[in-house]
Order: sequence, then C-alpha cells, then structure tokens
Amino acid sequence: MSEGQHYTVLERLANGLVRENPIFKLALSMCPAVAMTNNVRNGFLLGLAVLFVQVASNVTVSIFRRFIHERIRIPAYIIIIATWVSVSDMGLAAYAPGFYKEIALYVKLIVVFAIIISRLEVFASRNTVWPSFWDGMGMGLGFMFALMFVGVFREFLGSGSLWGIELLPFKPFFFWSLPPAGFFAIGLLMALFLWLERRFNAWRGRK
Amino acid sequence: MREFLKIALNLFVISLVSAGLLGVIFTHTEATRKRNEQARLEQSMSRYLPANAGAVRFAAIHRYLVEEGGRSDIGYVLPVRGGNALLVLDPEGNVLSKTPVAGPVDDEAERDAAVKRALSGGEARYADSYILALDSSGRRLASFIQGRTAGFKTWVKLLVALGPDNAVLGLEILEHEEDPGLGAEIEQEYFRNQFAGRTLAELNALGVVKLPLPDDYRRCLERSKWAARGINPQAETAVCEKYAHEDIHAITGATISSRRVTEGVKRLVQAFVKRMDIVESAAAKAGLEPAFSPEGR
Amino acid sequence: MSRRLLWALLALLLLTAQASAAGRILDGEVSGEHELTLTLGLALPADWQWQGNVGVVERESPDIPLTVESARLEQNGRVLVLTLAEPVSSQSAYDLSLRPSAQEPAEKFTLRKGFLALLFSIVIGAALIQNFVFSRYLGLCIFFGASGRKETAVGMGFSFILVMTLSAVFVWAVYNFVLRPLHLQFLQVITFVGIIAIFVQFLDTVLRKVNPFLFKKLGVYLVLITTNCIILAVPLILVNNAYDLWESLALALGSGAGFALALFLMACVRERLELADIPEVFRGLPIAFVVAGLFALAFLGFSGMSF
Repeated sequence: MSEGQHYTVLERLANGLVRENPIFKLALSMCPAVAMTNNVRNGFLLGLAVLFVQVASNVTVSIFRRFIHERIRIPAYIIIIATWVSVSDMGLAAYAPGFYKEIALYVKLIVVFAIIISRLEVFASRNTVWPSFWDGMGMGLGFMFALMFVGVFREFLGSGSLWGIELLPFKPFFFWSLPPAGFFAIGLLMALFLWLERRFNAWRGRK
Repeated sequence: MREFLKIALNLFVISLVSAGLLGVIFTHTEATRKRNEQARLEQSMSRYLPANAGAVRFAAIHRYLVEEGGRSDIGYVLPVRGGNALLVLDPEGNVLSKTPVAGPVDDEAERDAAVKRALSGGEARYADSYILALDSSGRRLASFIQGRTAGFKTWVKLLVALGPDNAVLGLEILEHEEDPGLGAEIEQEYFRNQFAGRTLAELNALGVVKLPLPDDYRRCLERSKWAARGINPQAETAVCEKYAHEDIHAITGATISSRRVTEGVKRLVQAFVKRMDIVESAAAKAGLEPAFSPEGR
Repeated sequence: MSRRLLWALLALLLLTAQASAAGRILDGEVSGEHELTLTLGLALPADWQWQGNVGVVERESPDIPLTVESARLEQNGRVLVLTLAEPVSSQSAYDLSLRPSAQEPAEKFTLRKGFLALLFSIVIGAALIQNFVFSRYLGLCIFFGASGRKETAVGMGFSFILVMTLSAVFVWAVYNFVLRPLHLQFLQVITFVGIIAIFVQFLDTVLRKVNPFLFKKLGVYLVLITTNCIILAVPLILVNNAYDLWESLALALGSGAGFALALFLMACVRERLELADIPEVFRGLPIAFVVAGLFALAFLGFSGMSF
C-alpha cells in the first residue's frame, strides 16, 4: 500500500468488516472475543471502546507521521494508543459506571491489542488523515460487529435473551453462557465463515 | 550523538504531550465519575424507601479497622454537627478517642487519607459502610449496609437494605467475579429477592436448601418483569407469601456461592444491629452529636 | 554466588514465616468448616473448663465474638479442637484468647495463613485456578501463535516467565514509589506499557551482547511479548489488589508458569492434530480454538479451589 493510492470510504469499511475482519479473518486480539461475549451488551461496549481508540490513534498517527522519528515509531505508537485508551477508560468510568465495571480490565488491555498497532504500522503511518479515519472506522466496526455477532450467538443460545431482554421463557442451551464456551463459539463460527467463503468462491467460479 | 538527542527529544515531547492531555481529561472526568457513582448508589437505595417519604437525607457511617501494636480497635467516621468525626472504640465498645475529620469522606481514597490524618498512630483499614436514610425529623426510614463477603471465587460486594425494624428490604450485588452462568446468577432477582421481608429473627435461623425453585415462586420473585408486563405487584406478592418463610433456594450449579452470600448477609445484618447500638451509646458518652438519632427520641 | 543468594532469600522467607508463633499456643489451623485446631506447647489439664476461658474473633471484626459451641482436648491436652457456630475459612485471620486457669492472664494468638503458604496459594492461584489462558482468557494471540511446536512453546514459555517476573517487580516499584505518592494513578496504563516496552528493549540489547547463544534461542519471542495481554494484565491486577513485593513476585511467577504450562499442553495436542483427519474448514485455527475450549472446560474444575 503505497502513498497516493486512492481508497474509497466504502472500500475501507468493507475491508475492515469483511475482507480483513480482525477477529474472523486476521485472528488478532482474540482475548475479548472469548471472554467478553457471553452477552451482546459487553461486546458492544468493548467494541465501541476499540472503535474509538482505533480511529483516534489512526488519525493522530497519520497527522503526526512526519514528526515521529522512524527509529522510535513503535514506542511512539504505543504511547499514542495508551493515551487514547486512558481517555476512553476515564470516559467510560465517568459516564457509564454501571456497564464499565464488567469490562474495566479489558478496556485497559486495549493497549496491547495487536490489531490497533498493526493498523497504525500498516496503514495510518503511510496514508493521509481521511483514508486513515475510514480505515480505523472499518476496522473498529469490524471488531465491534464480530464481538456482537458472537455475543448474539452465545446470549441467545445460552440464556434465551438478547441485550438482557428475555425472548424465550427458557434457556435453550445453557452451555453457551459458560465462560469456556467462548472458545467453542469462535472456533465454530470461524469454520462456518470459512465454509461460506469457500462455497461463495466456488459459486462465483462456476458462473 | 545528535541523532540520539533528536530521538530522545522526540519521544520526550510525545510523552509530555500525552501526559498533559491525560492530566487535563482526568481532572475533568474524575469529578463526574465520583458524582455519578454516588448518584448510582443513591438511586439503588431510593428503590427501598417508602414512596411517600418526602425529603430524604442520607447519613453515612464508615467503619475502619484500627490496628496498633498488636491490638485492633474499631474506628467509625460519623457525620456530626458541623462536619465529621472519627470515633475510635475498643472491641467492648468503650471510647478510646474522638477527633474531628477534615476533608470530604464520600470518596474512599479521600476518606482514607482524611482518617490517616485524624489518627495519631497505628494503621486504619476500611471495612464497610452503613448508610442511614433519614426523614426531615431525623427518623430512620431505612438503613443500608455496604459490605463484602467471600464468594465462591473472590469477594462479593453487597448492599443490604433494612427497614426501621431491621427486617431485610432487599439485597443488591454491587460487584463480584463469580463465573457467568453459574455463581454470577446471584445478581438475578430470583435469588436476591428471596431475602426481602426476612425479619431479624428469621434471618438468624436462615439456611440454604438445595431444592429446585418452584415456578410460581420464581415468577413472583422476578419483580422487574411484572412492571414490564403491566402486572399488579400486589396479586403476585400473595404467592410469594407462601414461600417467604422458607430457607433460601440455592442457585442450580452454584450452591456454594448461594450459601456464602446468605451467610454474608446474615453476618452483616447481625453485626450492623449490634454496632449501631454501640455507636449510638458511645457517641452519646463521648459527647458527640451525631446527625442521626436513636429511634424514638 | 547466585546459589548463596538463593539460600539467603529462602532463609529470610522462612524466618518471617515463623515470627508470629510464641507462647503456649504453638500453631493453629482451620481444620473444618466450623472447626479450629490448636497445637499447644504446654498441655492443658484434663479438667480445664473451656466456658468463659476461650474466645475467638475474626480479625476483621474484633467486636463481634464468634460463638464457641464446644471445645475438646486431644492427645493428653496437647491439642485443642474448637467447634464454632459460624463457618470459618482458611482465607481469613482469627484472633484467639485462651486462659489456662483462672489465675493466669489470657494468652492471645493470631491464627492466620503463614507467609509462605500465602505466597504459595498466590502462585497456585495464578498458575492453575485462575490460569490466564484457560480461566481468564488473556494472552490468546501469542497463545495460538506460539503453540504450534513444542520447541517454540518451551522457548516462549521461558522467555515469558523471565520477562513477566522482572517487569512485575519494576512496575511494582514504579507504582509504589512514584505514581502513588504523586497521585498520578491516571497515568497507570501509559507508564506500565512504557516500562514493559523499555524493559523488553533493554533485555533484547543486553542479551544480544552478553549471551548471544541465549539470544539466538529466545530473541525472537522477546519482541512478541510486548503485545501479550498478560504482561499488562498482571501489573494491573497487582496494583488493584495492593500486593506487596513478595506477593507481586508470586503472582508474576505463577501467571508466567501458568502461561508456559498452557502453551506446552496446547503444543502437545497441536503436534498430534497435524496427523489427524480433520474436516477441511476446521484445519488450523478453528480446531485449535475448540481444543482450547476443551482445556478451558477442564480448568473449570479448578474453579473455587483454595489453598
């Protein structure tokens, strides 16, 4: 990806959501996908925090990329990410204290999520502000939707509800709300998406 | 060398800017965080106040464990006329010292610092808080115990609401780290609401049984669902009445969590009743005028 | 040289553990859900009346005495078993007072977990009960990345234990001597990450110069460690729990060992999986996740255990 290459908004969003989905395709930052997906709400909130940090760091890095010395770029990126993580951590603690308690540790751990620093290195450090913004949007939304997707799957099957609202009067498959079920959910969904992709490609090849 | 200096300066500027930014944001959000946390606590407490209570005042008593030279005493931070005071009592309830506490006491970190300043020696550790809801004439409408008990994995922080006669009004789980789907079910209404309505005498003999929760009992325990479906709570309360004096039904797959929480509620309430008597008489002996008054005065 | 240092360290630990025992009561332990057992240095007479002569309080609430339901002497009065109405646990501390006869003053004893036992329980807790990979679900990127081969898993495990332990001490010192006194806790995340990054860089440089052989073995993993959630989660947890230096060391060591164990277990399974006939879409990561899920289910069995 060289500088000057043109990206459209739609292309960037599709890239993050589908083609390079951080969870199902790149398989980066799996920890929250396993631990924080037993209900949809946690997945959404954590996804929101990641979206914010990704977009803000992408924009910051692409603005200041000429000032950051090549040799110290990794430490500089880490400091920038840590700053935005602290900002979202303090913001959530102040304005959403009830929801924050459950995801507190994971919000702080966004600093070490590989997806964020890899986007800075691969994309934001080589592109201007606007594409970087949309790249961050795409990646963040892709992350958020992946978390929410697993969350919907597990919450509905595990406790028969969505976003805490009871849809079924019984728990269809209690197993899915147990913590270790996160591993199984990701494994199965990953295989499912791989299968769908193969079928899709085969179908397109035939046409 | 010049290259090195340039790099170092570059990194230094980046760190400085981000630290500055964080400092500014911290000072802005910190006050909001404290205010919102307090508001959240007051909101969950106001659920247990009578609907026609009028203006309600909260008075908080914070209990500290004061350790000095191998002996341990109890320190209470009390709201008194014109501020707060630290009253240190020995285990038998005799007054050891009383000192005014300077500074705000609502936030835990600030309070710890204020208590440390008020204490002449020894070490103080925060234990729990009692919050009294008072009406305009200073009568107690409800009391709230904010404490913790050992759960299955780590600590469970709870809020127990008591009526003026020290019967349990309700139980709220503030924080816990139990397993989702198992121990974490202690958050659910069908477990928490089993405590509502237990008198002090009932509580003393309360046990936990490993029986499935009857369907009609569960329905009446899940109160927030009544409201959502527009059912009159009164009709369902009659069903509850049938089971209200039985032991606590343990959560399926989380008997130990259920038993620990039940035991914790019992111990917290028993200790509260005993300590309030001690504090009230000790405060009178020490010549303090607490912002709350004993019943019937 | 290093061995002597190790012995000195061990002796120091043992000494601090023994410091609290003195007087007639030599030792005490929680021996049941409602039972405390005391070992006495001087036997109590067989006709000793326990009513009114023995009291137990929880250290956390000295003003609420626990109800002693019965006391019985065993082994010629050398062992005293107290049965209480309230449940007791080995996680809390208890203050006991014992009066051998009406003339003598009451003797105080604090029954609590020994220092070494406490550290041991933190190590086991972090390594098995709350294993970072299988019970807290952290560090998964590196876990799936480095568990393909046994050799890689062992190399990664060792470098991780090393970096984890050293950086935890570093972070502990900076937090307790710089951030806390200056009320700069809001810079937690940024400082911790910074310290870890600098530390890994430092180790990389030093190892490259001092021990090229070791560097060749471990160097590749060092860079990866910076993006491991566990390396940041441990400092955050030890700060949250207000651990002291030894406890922090125990937590770091335990979590490092737990991570290494998880890597090794997983690598063993994945090497065999390569030979297995797996549906095509499950090959690679998906089946690794399912295997990790099975491990996590097994580790759920440790949940709630305590030492």
